[in-house]
Amino acid sequence: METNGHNGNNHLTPEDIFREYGPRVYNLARRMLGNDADAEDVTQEVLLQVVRKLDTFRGEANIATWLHRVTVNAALAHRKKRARREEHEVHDPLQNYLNDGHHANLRPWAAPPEELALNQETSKLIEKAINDLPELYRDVYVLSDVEGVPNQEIGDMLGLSLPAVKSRLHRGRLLMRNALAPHFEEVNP
Amino acid sequence: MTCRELVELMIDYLAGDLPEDVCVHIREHIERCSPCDHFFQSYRITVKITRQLPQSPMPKSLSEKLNALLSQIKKQ
Repeated sequence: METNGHNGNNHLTPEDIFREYGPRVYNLARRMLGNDADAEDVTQEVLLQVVRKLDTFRGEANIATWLHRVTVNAALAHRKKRARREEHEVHDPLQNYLNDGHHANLRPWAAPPEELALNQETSKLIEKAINDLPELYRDVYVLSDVEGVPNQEIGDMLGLSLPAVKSRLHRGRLLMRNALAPHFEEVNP
Repeated sequence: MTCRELVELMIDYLAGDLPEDVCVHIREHIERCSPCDHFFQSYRITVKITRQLPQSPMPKSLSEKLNALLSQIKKQ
């Protein structure tokens, strides 16, 4: 969610907010929770909170920042309620090294970044890789690398120290890289 | 600096948060170690393509539910 918006939101109505920010709220919730049904529940919950709290919000900082916080809190509460356990063990992405700390063999990726435009297939691959991330890393990864929220702000939202945010983000990125590698590595470098 | 140590620093290196002398060590390592070069490029691409991820539109059924909810609240 870009923080491009509305300071001093004296005339904004819940309808205005949802017209402009609804899809962002929905996408953030979907990526944090990993399924559409939960994301819809959270989006409705956020709408209700916007209606209830808009008066108290008016005049505060940025509406996108406020909505991030409301959405993250609603998603975390929803997840807690759902109490779904992670089905798989968290694989340490820093395990793939030889005993001397050097890389096992690695292949370059086929497309240089400048040429890599996101088509629908690539978007789906990335969405799936995000969905497969353990929750421990997914929240920070989505907020940072999808939504562009600064690390300090993520720490405030999730109750984490800055080093903890960076550690989770880094491990999330490594898991994402590893998940995407089979699709992007050159076949015969 | 081992490859593993370099990978641990990658997040700060990419963010430009490391002192210049450490950056020099990293650049030198990457120049002579092709696996680390490949790894760093792929890490960078991962960050870059994730940032380009488009927002999906809200499902029509959800938009309708939200509009109905807002109308109901207005009436109260």
